[in-house]
Amino acid sequence: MNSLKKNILKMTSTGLLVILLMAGCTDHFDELNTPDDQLVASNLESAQLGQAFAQAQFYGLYGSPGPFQLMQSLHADIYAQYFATTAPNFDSDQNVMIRSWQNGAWNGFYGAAAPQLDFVENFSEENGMTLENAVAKVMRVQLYHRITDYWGPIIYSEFGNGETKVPYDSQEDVYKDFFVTLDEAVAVLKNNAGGNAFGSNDQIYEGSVDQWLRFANSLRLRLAMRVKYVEPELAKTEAEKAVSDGVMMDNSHNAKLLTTQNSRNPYTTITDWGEFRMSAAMESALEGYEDPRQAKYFQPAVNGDQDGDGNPYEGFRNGLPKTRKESGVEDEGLNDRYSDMGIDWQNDSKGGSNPPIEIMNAAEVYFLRAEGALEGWNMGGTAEALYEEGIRMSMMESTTATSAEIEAYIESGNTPKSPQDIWDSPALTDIPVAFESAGSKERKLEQIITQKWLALYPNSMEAWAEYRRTGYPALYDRINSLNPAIPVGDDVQRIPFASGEYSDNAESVQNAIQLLTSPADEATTKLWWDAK
Amino acid sequence: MIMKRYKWIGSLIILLVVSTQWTAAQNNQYDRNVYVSATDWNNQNLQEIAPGTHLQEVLSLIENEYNVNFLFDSKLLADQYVSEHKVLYLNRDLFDLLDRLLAEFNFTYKKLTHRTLGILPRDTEMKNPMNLEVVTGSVTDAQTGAPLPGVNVMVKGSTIGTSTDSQGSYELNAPSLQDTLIFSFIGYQTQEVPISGRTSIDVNLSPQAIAGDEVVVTAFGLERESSSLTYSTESVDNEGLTEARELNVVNSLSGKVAGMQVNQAGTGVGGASRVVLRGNRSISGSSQPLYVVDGVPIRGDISDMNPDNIESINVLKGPNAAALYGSEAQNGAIVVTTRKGREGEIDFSFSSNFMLRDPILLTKYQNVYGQGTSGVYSPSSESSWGPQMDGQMVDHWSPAPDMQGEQYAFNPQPNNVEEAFQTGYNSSNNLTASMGSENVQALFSYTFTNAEGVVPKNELDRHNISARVTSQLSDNLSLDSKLSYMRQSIDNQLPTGESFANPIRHIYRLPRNIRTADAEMFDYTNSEGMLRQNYWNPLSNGGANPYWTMNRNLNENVSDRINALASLTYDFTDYLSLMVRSAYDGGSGESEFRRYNDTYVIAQNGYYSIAKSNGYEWNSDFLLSYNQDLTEDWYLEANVGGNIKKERNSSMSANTNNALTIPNFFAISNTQNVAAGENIGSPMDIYSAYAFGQLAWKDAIYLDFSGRNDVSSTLPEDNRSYFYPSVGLSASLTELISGLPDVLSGARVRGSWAKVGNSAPPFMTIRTASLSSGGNNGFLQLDTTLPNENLKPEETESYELGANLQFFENRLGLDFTYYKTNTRDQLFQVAVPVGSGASSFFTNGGDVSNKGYEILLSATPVQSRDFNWDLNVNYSANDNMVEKISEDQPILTLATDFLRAFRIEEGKPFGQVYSRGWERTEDGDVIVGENGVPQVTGGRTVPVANFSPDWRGSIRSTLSYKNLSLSFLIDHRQGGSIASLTNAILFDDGLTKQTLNGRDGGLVFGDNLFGGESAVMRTGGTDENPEYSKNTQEVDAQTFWTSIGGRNTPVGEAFVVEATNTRLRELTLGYNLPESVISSLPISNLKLSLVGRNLLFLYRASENLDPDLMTGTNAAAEGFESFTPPSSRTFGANIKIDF
Repeated sequence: MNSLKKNILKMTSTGLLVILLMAGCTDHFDELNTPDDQLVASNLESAQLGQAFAQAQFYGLYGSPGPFQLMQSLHADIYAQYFATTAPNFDSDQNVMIRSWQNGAWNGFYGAAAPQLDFVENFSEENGMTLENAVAKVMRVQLYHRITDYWGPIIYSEFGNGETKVPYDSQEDVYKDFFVTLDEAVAVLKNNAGGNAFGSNDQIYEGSVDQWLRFANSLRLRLAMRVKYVEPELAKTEAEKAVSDGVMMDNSHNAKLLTTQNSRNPYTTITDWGEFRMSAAMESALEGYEDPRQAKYFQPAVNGDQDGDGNPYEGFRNGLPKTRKESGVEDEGLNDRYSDMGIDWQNDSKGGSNPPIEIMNAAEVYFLRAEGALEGWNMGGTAEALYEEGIRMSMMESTTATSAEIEAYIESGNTPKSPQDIWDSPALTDIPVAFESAGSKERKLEQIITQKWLALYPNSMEAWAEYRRTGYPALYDRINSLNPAIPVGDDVQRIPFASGEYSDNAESVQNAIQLLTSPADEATTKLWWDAK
Repeated sequence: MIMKRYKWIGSLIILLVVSTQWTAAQNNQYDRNVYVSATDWNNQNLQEIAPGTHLQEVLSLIENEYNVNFLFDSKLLADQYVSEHKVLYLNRDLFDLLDRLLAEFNFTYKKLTHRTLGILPRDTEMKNPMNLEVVTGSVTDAQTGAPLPGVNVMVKGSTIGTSTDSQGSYELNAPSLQDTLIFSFIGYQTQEVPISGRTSIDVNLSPQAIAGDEVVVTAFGLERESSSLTYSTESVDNEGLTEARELNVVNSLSGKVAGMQVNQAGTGVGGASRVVLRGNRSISGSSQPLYVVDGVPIRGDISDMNPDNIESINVLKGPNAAALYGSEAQNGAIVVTTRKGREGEIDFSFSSNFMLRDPILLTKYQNVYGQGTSGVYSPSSESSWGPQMDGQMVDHWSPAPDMQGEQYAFNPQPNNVEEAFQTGYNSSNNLTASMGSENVQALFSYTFTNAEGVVPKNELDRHNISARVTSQLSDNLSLDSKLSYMRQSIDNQLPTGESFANPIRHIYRLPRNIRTADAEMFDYTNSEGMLRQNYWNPLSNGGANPYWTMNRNLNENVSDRINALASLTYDFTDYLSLMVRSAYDGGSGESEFRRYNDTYVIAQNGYYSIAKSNGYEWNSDFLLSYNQDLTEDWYLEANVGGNIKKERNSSMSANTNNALTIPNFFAISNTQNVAAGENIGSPMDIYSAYAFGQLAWKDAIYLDFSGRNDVSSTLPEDNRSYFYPSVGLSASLTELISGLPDVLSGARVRGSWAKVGNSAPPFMTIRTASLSSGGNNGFLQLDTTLPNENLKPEETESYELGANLQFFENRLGLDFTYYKTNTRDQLFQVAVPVGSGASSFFTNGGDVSNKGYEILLSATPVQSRDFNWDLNVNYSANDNMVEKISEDQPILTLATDFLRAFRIEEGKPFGQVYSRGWERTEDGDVIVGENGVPQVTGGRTVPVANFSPDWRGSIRSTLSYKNLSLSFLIDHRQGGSIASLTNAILFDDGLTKQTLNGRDGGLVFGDNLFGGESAVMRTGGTDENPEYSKNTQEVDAQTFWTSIGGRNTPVGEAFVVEATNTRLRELTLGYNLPESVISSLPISNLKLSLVGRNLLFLYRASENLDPDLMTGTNAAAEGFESFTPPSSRTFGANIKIDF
């Protein structure tokens, strides 16, 4: 038994020895548990602020093809009737709201862009980087206004609270904060003329403070016009402030996001998927106006001239049903029968140029000023002159037309034509290009917005917001609707909240519904500014 | 750093090696110096023997000191006493000592085996057989006829005995030819054979019919008799793995182990399998068991292991069984023991296996209507809602220039789906050589496996080379070393499910009029000289010509794996030993994808990618073992050990992004836009210390205990170290209670309790920010998962109770187990609103319980010299329940796809499947809209299925007659349901037979369509108080199925199928060439078997699919059905020759 005791003692001491050895060898554990191919968020320095800002810009503008499709391509692109869906299962063109798509659209912004923007704003503020902070604020307004123009109430002031519940702000509160934010930013930018923030990490203006200032003012003008019907006084004040502070005057001031081989224009990817083609509305307007921009915006249909109008550009009506019993038309082969998006937006191997992503151009600013002038606001010009300058800016931006050709277009009495399709679609509208100085205010507004719609292409998120606000251009009814709440003559007014919010932020989303103009989370509920 | 961390183990090894050499040098005269006593270490060990001490007493003293056994006839030694005072120097050579001791007696000694000596009367040595009779013979396995080495042969009522040599032969000196011999061997039934005057006795031993006293391999490779275990295990031997062979050896276990579920992923040959023991328990982890090979946990699974090299697989089902393997064993462990060389002359065996694999297409296609919609033909349609196919001439679909204007006869092509598949095969050839001397044994094995899947171009090649050397380096020191190398290449592993590169998707969706010969011409050159895909709907956003996909979307995977082990065991004494071991399992992989231009959505402009990865798991451990009889009745075994586990992985990949510059030239440089990435896998170190043991009283009561402490690198410092214990008790009623009826040959009850802790995945305690390319200087993204600095280890607590009853000399056995496990403090990600600044955080919480029964019945109804019948029945029912998730979330979504969301939900079994469902009234009636199609719960989803089965069972039986044996395995799964995305799409396409009804209208929901549902239509009333009446609205098939089916927004409730099925899993017919034939051949054994697996369904509730096949192997995989390859039956032949 002696040896037993001895051995138990041996074993115990060995065991203890081992434990001691192990305890002493865990020094490297924290290092091991830190990935060495990544940075640690809590240790980030100002040197990395630019890259975070760059990420917020690119993802905030939906540069990534997946979220871009779910956000813009499957909604605004077809609700602004730039394109119509050829994919048989894409029911959003028949007014169906698919919540899983909205998850992708919502998360694409809040997951990939907002945290970085928030980080940049907070970091720059804490570290006295006032210029960077001002630019980030302008960027915030640009990014969030597109989000609220989709959903209405959004997560805005409470973003990044780190809680399991994040309350929404009403659209009114969000818009009013936009103006305050722009005030703050503009004050800093004005005081730093000639300065630079973020340098080449800024993919829009390479950090030029002067450009950012013009953009901030132009953005103020855009937002002011948006609230024209709901808060006319605020709209006038803000619009006049914007113009007097200096807005974009020519195409060198345009806000466009740089694209690179590694951060591409998302259209160059999604045009490969063959899921949309030119809409009948675009065909009607561009062909009727004999618009030089048609060859830039679209390509001739693979199968050539389908309707025998002598023009190989072919569009078709939105909302084609899966089962074409009523229409008697096949749903197949649409991709070859109708016009694809212009060559610039195609893959490089097809001759694409990976164009920058449009945010705002001088043409839009002139049309905004034209609309303001129509209201009698001090916009530094008459409605007609500003309208015509808008057309010039767009033509110069998108075409190689000579000024004689441009002037001929501006003076043309051409009106949209019937696309001569199997639905016997009429012409989109009867308004000509030439400004009807003697026309009613409403007709002039239609002219301004219709030309703005053409000039914004393919920035459909802005075009769709303006369509909802003004009712122009006079787009076609859909051929079919699968959503009983939105029959073919009606339009989707907003995007319902994402289903992920219903599971992860349930209480807040229920409260957010109360912040809508009527307490129903439906696509038929109008937004706060949609008050014409 | 690595050197530093291993220093102490290294010095231990050096110390042992040095001491080994020293011992060897001291004992250069082998024969006289075999018996080195442990007392050599302290040099002065004298034992004084008083006069009158009984000789037997002295012998037993020597037995203990020298770790030997003496065999003698106790009658002869009955009155032999030491006559004078003696001093025995116990540090001396044993033979010298025996010579001195026995000098005064009329006895001498004879070496019988390595550690056994006979004490014989002095004269018998010279003048045998005056008193002792020599009996010789051989012992063979009654079933296989193979010689059995190492069988104990004893003369009944004496201590005289021997054991058989490597050829199964024995020679024994029996006191009388009227004595009886007892033949016993672990795993076989003991036989008593009266000598009855014979001098040659050959014996066949039958393997024990029942898991009575089977030896099983438990933690750390320790062998235990199964009756001493306090928990339930089940094992499958080599034959069960090699005969009805599967490419993935784990699949061979399917249906053979109660409580085990095996599902195969839909990736074609070489695919992974998902194994779950006793139900899913992990919210975010895998729920899959740990794989352990030769006592050491390995990296990943054993899908590429060679079954020929496996001696046995033992399944430790609960955490009780596996408490000692540590964290990862909380889901149970699959313990693989590989083969070792045997003492004896060189033994060659060759086996060859060839199996054909035949797809079983379960979907019933319609063969009346062809391409088009609304009854109108369209050559570019992807659905079959067109006109009837009556042989009319229609435009050909091909966009190829030379096909323009071509027409062809519009006829049904009933076999176009089947013709896209082929008969696959598996072939494997193995050569094994085993050889060994008394001190060194070696085994060499090489296997080449080659397979083709049922989808053309899906191929596998696998080489397994393995060498194992076991060696008794000196009397106290033994070595076990192993090196296995595997190289596997798989071509065109099938992308799964909804992937547009999955050929299955495109095969199943073939319109009914597409002729195979037309589709086989999968490409053409267009007018611009570009290679284009020949498909009916060019640039489709989901469709493709299946032959294009098979031939122009290619992938290759090559992997290497090395499994190495070295283990040294030093016996300090016969009761104390130390093992030191290091085992490495690592490898590398390389994969390549090539997609040709014109692959539409996924690669319109071509695509090429390569990825390389490598990683390893390295375990180094030691184990100090003590085992000794404390008294005659009490036995103690105790072990103390420690383990260091290191896991490292990394990978790099590059791809050409969205375009190849030169079409169809596959090189990373052939693009304007290279994307590349690296991934620092999941580094993890775990240091462990543990102690475990067993206290036994007679053969009646066993008490097991264990404790383990892990220190994990992935947890925050304060929670890094965690301890978990287990305890178990097993008692034999037949030993403890006398007077039990004779029919009861054994009765044991057992119970155990265990806790197992588990650490977290790496990198969960800090928030990272990652860089990516883009813009001018790159992008920076903050991780969307928030860190948790207070993570705790998760914990599984389990207990189990069981009983084992044996009747009629173990011919009938019943084993019953009840278990309950709770997995608490689970580590998982909780989704938070993205607006919070992150999308999730990692937390501890949740409680998933599993409780259930396992019943095993085993019987040998007939056992005779020529005919044997074995029968095994097993039944297992698992009741799974998600008790709790977290304070904030009663529901957690694990995965989603177009059809469904896989959720776990408090108060529901694991595996809830949510999808769109029918809108219903308060009474549960389905509300049908004006067009005759039910309204759908559009924005919200409802639970429609749950994939957890109610119970599983199987019947396995072997009938053997002389050299012939027949065995079969039937298994059954009861309950569980899945929602089929394949069906949703095939119905939408108008392809299935069920879509024939109502092509011209006349379908009424709730009547001749979904007749099981009660359906109503709104006829008035207000929105608050709507009025309904029975639905009578007719709808046509196309409107109906295209409304509720399809890819993007299908109604899952319409496509739920029940998973209940019964199948003939395995059928084997074996034939051993009879001895009479063998003896004339230069071989020692030849066995031929015909085998079939998955031969047919005896019952299947789901019409179109095999519910065992699934898309992937993740946690939600069991309900994940989407374009899986067809179920397939395999059948073939197996030949094994021993030389």
